[in-house]
Amino acid sequence: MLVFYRLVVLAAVLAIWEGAASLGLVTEFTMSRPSRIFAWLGGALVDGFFWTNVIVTVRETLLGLFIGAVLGVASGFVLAQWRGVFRLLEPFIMALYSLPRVALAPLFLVWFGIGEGSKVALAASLVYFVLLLNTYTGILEIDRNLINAVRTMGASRTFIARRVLFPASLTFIFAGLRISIGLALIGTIVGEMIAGQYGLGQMISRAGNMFDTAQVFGIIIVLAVLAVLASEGMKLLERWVMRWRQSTESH
Amino acid sequence: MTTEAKLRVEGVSLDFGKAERSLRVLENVNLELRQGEFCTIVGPSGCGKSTLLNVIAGLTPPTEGASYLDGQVIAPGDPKIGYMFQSDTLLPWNTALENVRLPLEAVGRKDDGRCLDLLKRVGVGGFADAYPWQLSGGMKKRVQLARLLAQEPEVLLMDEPFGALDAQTKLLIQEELLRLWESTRLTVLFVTHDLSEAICLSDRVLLFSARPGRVKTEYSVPLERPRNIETIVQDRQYNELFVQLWRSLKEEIQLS
Repeated sequence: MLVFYRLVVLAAVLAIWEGAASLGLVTEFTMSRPSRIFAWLGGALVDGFFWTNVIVTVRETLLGLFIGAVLGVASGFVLAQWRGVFRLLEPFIMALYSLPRVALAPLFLVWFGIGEGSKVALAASLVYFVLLLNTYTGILEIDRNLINAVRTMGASRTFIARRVLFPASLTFIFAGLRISIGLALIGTIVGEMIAGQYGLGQMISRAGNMFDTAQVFGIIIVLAVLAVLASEGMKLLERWVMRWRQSTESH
Repeated sequence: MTTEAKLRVEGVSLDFGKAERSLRVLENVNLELRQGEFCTIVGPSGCGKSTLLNVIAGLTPPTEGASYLDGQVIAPGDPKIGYMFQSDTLLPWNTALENVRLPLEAVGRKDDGRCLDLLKRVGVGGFADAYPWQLSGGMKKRVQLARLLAQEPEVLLMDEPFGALDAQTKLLIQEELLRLWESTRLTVLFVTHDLSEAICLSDRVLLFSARPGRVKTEYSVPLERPRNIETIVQDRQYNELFVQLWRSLKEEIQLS
């Protein structure tokens, strides 16, 4: 029933938009109109070039997410073992974390080239710090007695890391991953908009330069669909990985 | 009375914090447990009785003194020392059976079916594949007892293990513990603030002083074994010892 009402809201917004454009209340040049946007989308879906760009953007985003996440979790783990090193590096980590990483794009272009590498690097740099800090916090939050109990069994550090620290920090890691989907997408799109040949960011950039607002809106819709699909996928992954948890949502 | 002590704590003192601002938590604690003895520590809260268990287990290094198992200094993480914590320390991401296997896997041993037998022995054999959130408080304690036995320790350190349970569940699990102890004859050092629990379970009760903690008085429990927890509270000797312990403890609580 909720889904139905949501569709009603969406239809109403589109109808008002279309009506306003027909009556000349908004200029089509700046706002386009739903019928044109969907016409463009219809054409794009059967266009090979459009799909090439979708695949490039998805590939860069997922690769950036994966690389940033693996390095971030690993760094968080290592720094949680050597707290002194974390305290030493904390101001630098926080400076890099707070820095608008998008500003690094020109450097990444020089370092990793104009192709997909620089986009992956930008996406990964956004994801990396979120996962580093989340993993670090997750490990600090673990109940000390859980670790002590396993220590008194004569377990090695690696056994404790594998059987206690890693599973215990999964909640924090997945919280970081959920945020990171959006961040990775930002990194990729901005990277593509700045320089490159392919990708949805590059398409938006070109459409914008040609004042093709219908296409800009169309690609925005595609990006929204991709983002929703990715976060749903992440939810499924989380539920599968942490299937030992008490199921709070039974329906 | 000339037998070598199974567990010996010699001159253990512990300070928290550094230099002049330090706080003395334990003051020259000495105790000896015979093989197969069940010994309980009672004392006012904050007297360092739980900290003493951490020191014996090697989780907290003492400022002075040392603990010995069979005359050897105890190495941190020695699996011969089993530790049951007050809080629930089952791993939430492992099933009951996987939790019981943990001490075996921690030292690279294989489970030959013993772990399931242990779960059955403590009465939760039907819950081997359940995750901790699916178990009641009492059942979790039973699984922890099974895990403790799977480790095959020689000495058990128990830190108010049943403190959080309701009265009925507590009685049942105390009976279970007595039954297990009578069949294994492990050496047990048990910390509690429940005087009735201390008397019912142990051979000897050590009363700790207010901080800094040290052994103030020692009482041996004259009750016969095997004991029946249901009827023990009607015993005259039980009541006399209870009153004696309570008076002595009350003095320490008022001091602290």
